[in-house]
Amino acid sequence: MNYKNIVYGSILILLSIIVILISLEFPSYVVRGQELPGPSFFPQVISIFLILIGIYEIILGILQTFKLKKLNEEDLKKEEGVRKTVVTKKGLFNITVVIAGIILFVPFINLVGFKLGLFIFSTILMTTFSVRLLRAVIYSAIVTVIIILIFDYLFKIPFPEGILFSF
Amino acid sequence: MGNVLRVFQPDVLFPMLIAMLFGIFVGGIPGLTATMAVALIIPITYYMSPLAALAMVVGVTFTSIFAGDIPATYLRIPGTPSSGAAVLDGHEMAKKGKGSLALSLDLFCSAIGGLIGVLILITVSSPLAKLALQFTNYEYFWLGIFGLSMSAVLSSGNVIKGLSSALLGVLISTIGIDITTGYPRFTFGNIELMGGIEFIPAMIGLFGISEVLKNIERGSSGLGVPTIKEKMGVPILEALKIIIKKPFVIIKSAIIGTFIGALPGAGADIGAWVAYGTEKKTSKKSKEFGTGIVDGVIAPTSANNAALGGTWIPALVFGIPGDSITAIVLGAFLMFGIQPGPLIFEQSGDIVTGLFTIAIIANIFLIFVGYLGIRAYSQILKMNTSIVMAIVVIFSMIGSYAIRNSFFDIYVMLLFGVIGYLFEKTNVPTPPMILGIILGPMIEDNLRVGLTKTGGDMTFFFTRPISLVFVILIALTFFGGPISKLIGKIFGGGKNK
Repeated sequence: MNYKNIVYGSILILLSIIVILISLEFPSYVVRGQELPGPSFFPQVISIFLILIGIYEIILGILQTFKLKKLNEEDLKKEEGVRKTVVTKKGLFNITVVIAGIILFVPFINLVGFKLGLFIFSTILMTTFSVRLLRAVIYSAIVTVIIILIFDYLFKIPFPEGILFSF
Repeated sequence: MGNVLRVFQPDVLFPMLIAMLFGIFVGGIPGLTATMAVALIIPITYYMSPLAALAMVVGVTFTSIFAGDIPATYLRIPGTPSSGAAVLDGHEMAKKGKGSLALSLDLFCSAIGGLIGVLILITVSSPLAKLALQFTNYEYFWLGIFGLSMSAVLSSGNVIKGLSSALLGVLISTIGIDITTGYPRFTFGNIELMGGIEFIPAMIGLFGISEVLKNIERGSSGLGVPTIKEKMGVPILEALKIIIKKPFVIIKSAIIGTFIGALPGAGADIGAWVAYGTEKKTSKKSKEFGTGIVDGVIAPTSANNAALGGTWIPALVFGIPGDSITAIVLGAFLMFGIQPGPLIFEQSGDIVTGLFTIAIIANIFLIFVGYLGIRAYSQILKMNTSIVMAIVVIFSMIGSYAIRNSFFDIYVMLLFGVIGYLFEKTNVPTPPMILGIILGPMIEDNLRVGLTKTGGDMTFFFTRPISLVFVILIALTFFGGPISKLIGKIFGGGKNK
């Protein structure tokens, strides 16, 4: 079954319905007794288009499932290409570290300060990507110094000093 | 004439060169935009002569727009928003080991496109500005829709998925305070969302972080090797040979870029996308776009620098900024006692002449400064992919934060990174989403204001001549291919018989 189209179409429809439901609560825009396009008008119009596309994607997915619509060679090649890029266990670990690392970066630098936090974060990232620890430490130190020179000293962009350490 | 010669003095040329190097540096860092580069250089120009100050501003603008293409080509992270379109084929060429060639082409096309833009600025600034002034809400609405329909053309293979991506981008653009009524939409009480989704972090996430996730998903395989596998260098002769064969692509894209740039509110970024889309649609190699084709590098890079010349047209002639960069520059003009507007050519003719000369010189200097920039940035990319990927994550984060000193934007970048990654897995193109976020407010505002003016009557959107031209162009964007095939079949078939 061609799940990708069906899932994508379903997500589009679900998202659009949520948008329409939320926008129903937006106030109407009335000027001198005349109702004009208000804040809900545009999101609702876009959502209707997205619902139509969602329905199309679902129908396409179902038709492909029952082989009523034959895939052309190009589509098949694309499908094959997607299937080939399988996420490995190590890959999944890498992705988790990147996502979790970015999420935790802000509270972490608020705690230990931007400079130390950035250095630690960079070292963790590099070692996760299989760089040897010593190399990762050296490169992280260089990257941290460059970032501080550019953003902190040159562009005067404020970064947190940290609760635990400040230097 | 005096001011033309005055430009060649060291006190004007030297600051210009310094500013151009600064532009390469800032533009090449993801998240730091050309606007930011100009904003940073303005305070330095306070104590300089108007001509030297203008030389710095113009120099930094042209180089930073070009420099944005360097990380776009090698890392798939657009350095500036106007480099978004350059990612598509530039990065594909880099993946094939032709990154240096892509950037060499980019460099020459930026310089040539920039020169064409300036020449158009000099010769037809007045009539073009008049045409731009005739644009009302109805025309701007269609211009936005035209941009979106281009995004459907840009999507590789699947127009419907491309459209959905663009519409999702437009939907995202509705987050924040509604300009007309001041009502907060889809903010869920979050103050950070009141200002809407900043499209630069979104762009960094969609292009940069999604690329990192794609690179690391297979574990350690491929991470230990150098990022650039090709022999480093800047193949100038090879690039020039290609350019000589493609004069019409450059000229056409530069004209499109200049025209789009001349429309207030539509800057180099939209110019680059429209030029790319137009080239793809009209090219015989349409299907090869997005796979690393030279035309796909030439079109957007010629257009984005040409658009800079275009943005000066309404700025000089009517005092209306073409984009955020010229908005800052107009402020600088006033600082120097120069009043932009229809009388500028009479009251400050010498300054305008000087400005035109500076712009021409800046585009010639761009070749030398850009060459240095390519060489400097490519050194970094000799490192292993694993190290480069970590650096990309860090620069993406800091770059996203730096735009408005908001940690929230780091999370925006991450969210869009994950969306971009999932989009790639499901064959949904990401560029239309960016265009949707950029064009969304323009489309919505003009549609609503237009409908308010007409009391809800849509016929006004179709009956005005310029609007009608746009409607035809949009129809051709979607149905031009099948129509031309049909015509080809009818006439071609007849010949065969």
